[in-house]
Amino acid sequence: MGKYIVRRLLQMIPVVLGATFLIFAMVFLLPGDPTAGRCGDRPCSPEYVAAFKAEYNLDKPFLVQYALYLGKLLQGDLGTNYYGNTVAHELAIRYPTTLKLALIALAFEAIVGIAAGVVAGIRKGKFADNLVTISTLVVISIPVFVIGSLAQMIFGLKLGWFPVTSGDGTWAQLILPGLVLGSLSVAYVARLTRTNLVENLRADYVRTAKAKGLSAGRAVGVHALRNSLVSVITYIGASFGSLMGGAIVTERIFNVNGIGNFIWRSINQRDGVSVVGAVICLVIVYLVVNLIVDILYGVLDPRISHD
Amino acid sequence: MTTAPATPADPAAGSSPAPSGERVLEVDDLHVEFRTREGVAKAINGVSFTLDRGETLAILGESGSGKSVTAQAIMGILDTPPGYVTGGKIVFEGRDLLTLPAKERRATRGAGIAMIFQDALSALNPVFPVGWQIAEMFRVHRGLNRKDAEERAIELMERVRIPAARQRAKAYPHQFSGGMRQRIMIAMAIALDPKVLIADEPTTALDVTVQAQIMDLLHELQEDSGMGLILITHDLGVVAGVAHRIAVMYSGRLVETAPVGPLYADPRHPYSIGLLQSVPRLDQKRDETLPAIGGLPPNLLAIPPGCPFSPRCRFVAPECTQGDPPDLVEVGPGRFAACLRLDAVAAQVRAEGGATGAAAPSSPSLGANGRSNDNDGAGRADGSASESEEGRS
Repeated sequence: MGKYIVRRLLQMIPVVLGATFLIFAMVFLLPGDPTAGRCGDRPCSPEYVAAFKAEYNLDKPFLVQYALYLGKLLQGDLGTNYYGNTVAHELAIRYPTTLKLALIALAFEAIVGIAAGVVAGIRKGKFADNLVTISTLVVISIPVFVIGSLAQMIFGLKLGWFPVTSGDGTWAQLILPGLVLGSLSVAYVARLTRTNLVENLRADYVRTAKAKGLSAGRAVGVHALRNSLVSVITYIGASFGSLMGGAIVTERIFNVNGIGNFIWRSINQRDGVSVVGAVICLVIVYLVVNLIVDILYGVLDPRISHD
Repeated sequence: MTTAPATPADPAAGSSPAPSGERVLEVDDLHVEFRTREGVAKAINGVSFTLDRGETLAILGESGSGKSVTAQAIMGILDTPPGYVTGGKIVFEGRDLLTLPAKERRATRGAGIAMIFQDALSALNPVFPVGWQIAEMFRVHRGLNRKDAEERAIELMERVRIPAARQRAKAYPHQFSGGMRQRIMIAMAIALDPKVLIADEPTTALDVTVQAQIMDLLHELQEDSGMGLILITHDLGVVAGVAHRIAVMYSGRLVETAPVGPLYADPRHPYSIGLLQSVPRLDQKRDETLPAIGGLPPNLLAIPPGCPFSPRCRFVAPECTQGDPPDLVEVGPGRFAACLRLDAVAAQVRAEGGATGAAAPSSPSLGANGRSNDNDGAGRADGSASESEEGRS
């Protein structure tokens, strides 16, 4: 197991390096001028532009820029953006908000998704099953920006149950965005749980559990469910990795001051240093979460060995 | 349909002690059907038999004859829907299981009547340690705490001769060999000293040497505890050495029941005759084609009128294909067969050279002979098997 983790961590190095290069190249190739709009209505003076470019190494060839960036990155320095703030600071003030948002979405998808999937799986072909199957299909079919805007309008404006936007990133403000963010995963988790449970209920070991004289609750709740949840928990774990970074649309709709919003704004402002720094962070978080999920998978299903 | 009375074991039936005559299970006129989209499949059509303490009853039949469904109906683990018990009685300890409240019936499952399945790999839960799965019997039925229950589980694993039981209790089913897994299944089934053990093709998934070990183990456990054993199989060799009585099933009915010795020596029903003639024998000529029963078992959705075996029967007469299926009639001490033309069949078989050719129960392969040798072999084979498993885990 230890060896496995070390091997996986070592494998991350080329992945992270490759990711930085690709992101850096894409930001470099992005059309637009980072100095645009910095000097009010007038174009900036050539002296200012030259000084700006020199400060951020923009006057050097691409590969030199990348090498200089990488050199600093290896020292743990994510750089300073065009507004004079360190990227590390920008990320640090926003990560807690994104983490809270992701946790709300995660709790939603785990609790509601598994519960709905179990109910549908046990009552296969009955009303509850059809309800879950159809409603998840609806959720999967509607784009998140539509769900988000609808939720904002109905629960925020009309009913007034939740704050319309999230200014400070408090838990209460993040509930509605969290539910919207988790809605797609809820649908997938419910369907995955249902399918696995239906399949496992037919398994021989469930028949054995009944032959042992166990109650239906124990045969289903312990024997069938435990097997069904192996892949569900794996999915939830993997989705947490993407929730940590994939919330750009949701964060925009609810004006959540998180990483997604920061990336979106940085791209708009041609703030390449911020974009690269934020995305590298997301890549690392994603890789680490995936590693944890893979280890968890081996714990949940003893047939999977990491040796 | 007549209820076949319990018969004392034939002395030739094997080395088992004679059953005590104390009735532990009585199945009377059992009917089971499966309601499917294509129609109603009548899987069991009036099966009756009894089982005494210490007795081994082998239920023999090909796939689809209803032998496994009979077992599942007795256990109460039919999948409903589509399977329904539509008639009959299953009397265990004086109570009809079919009319018991669900909770009381569940209490008898595992504790009073236990079952082992064909494929232990899929029948054991892959994500729980085997010790935990055995211990669950004590925790659920006896309310033991986890530690005591697992202690009992280890004792059981030792009883079914799993080497290094204490360490192996923490292992998972996939870390055991097929024979060891079946031993775990058996340990789980006998955990609460059931009065009846149903073994549904317990050795089919195992290779031949391990088959013998498992049959020996079952036999030994039965001698210790006096439980009644229902052995469901399609393997005549497995049956020969261990069973006292054989019930041959065809198309959801018993077509012949008899003590094992007389059945092997002198089968009366054409289906039994065909089954025994299709057993390969060592003294057979090489170029001789092995006799087989032609055709397929009837479609349970549309069982033909008359005797269900008539379309495949080489002794068939016009009266066989009309009316109700024949009932079991007594054809000898403790022997019953369901055939309209018993005398004609017997006469023709005699004319063809008499015996079916099936030898006495001790010779067709497994079981009765060389029991002690088998045990020694079991020890060695188990040891090496578990060594290789250690390497895997």
